[in-house]
Amino acid sequence: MSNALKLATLLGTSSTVPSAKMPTGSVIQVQTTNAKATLGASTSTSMVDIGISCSITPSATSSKILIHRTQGFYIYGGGADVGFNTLLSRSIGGASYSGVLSGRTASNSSGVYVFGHYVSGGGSELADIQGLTFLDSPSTTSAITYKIQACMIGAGGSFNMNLSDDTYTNLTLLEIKG
Amino acid sequence: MDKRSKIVKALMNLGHTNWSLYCENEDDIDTQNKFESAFKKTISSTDDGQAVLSSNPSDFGVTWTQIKAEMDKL
Repeated sequence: MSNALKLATLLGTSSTVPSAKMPTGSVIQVQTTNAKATLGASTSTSMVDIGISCSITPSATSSKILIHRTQGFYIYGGGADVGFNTLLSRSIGGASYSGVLSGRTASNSSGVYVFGHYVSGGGSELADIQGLTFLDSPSTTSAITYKIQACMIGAGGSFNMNLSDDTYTNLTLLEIKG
Repeated sequence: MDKRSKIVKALMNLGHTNWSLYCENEDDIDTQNKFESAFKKTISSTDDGQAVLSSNPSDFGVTWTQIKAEMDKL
């Protein structure tokens, strides 16, 4: 028996390495959404969907989900001290959405999943790209959908997620073997 | 440089707050039908800060006629 055949026999396959044979920490699945947000401008001070989501079905309850997110945005201060927050939330098996940290809520801005940018003074503006990386432990093999929401903090300003034709939002999910 | 579209400027000039426009390009909103299909008003929020949105023009608190008139001034 050749070494290659011995290895294939050891792995239990003749062509690919099954995820069950891969070491802890291996990336065993990737899902991504790269699209323009369906939300244009908003002055909402409560969280609204920006229209970007991505789904993944973990192969084991021990799997971790590494989440990468980048998005362009524009904030107009409008003469007020205003902030801009975004929220990453998830739905497991079609249930209600909640922040990716258990017990956190959209109004709690101290969570790792919420980022704030503050603009102060009359007519101030900020255009930037916001990024987030987070390792989630959903403990499920049901389908999970992650989505991005955003809102203003304080009245008087506006934000825009879809300012130009090349303003794309990316949400990428990697299943990491636990 | 103020990057807001005309309709956003008009809505803010009118002092209207807690709204969202769901559209690919705000500059394409040039009719009442397009406005009413893109516009959503935050009418309340849940305890965890989620917006409750309405697409019913009776909840908007502003009309396309008012917005168009303001846009024409810009």
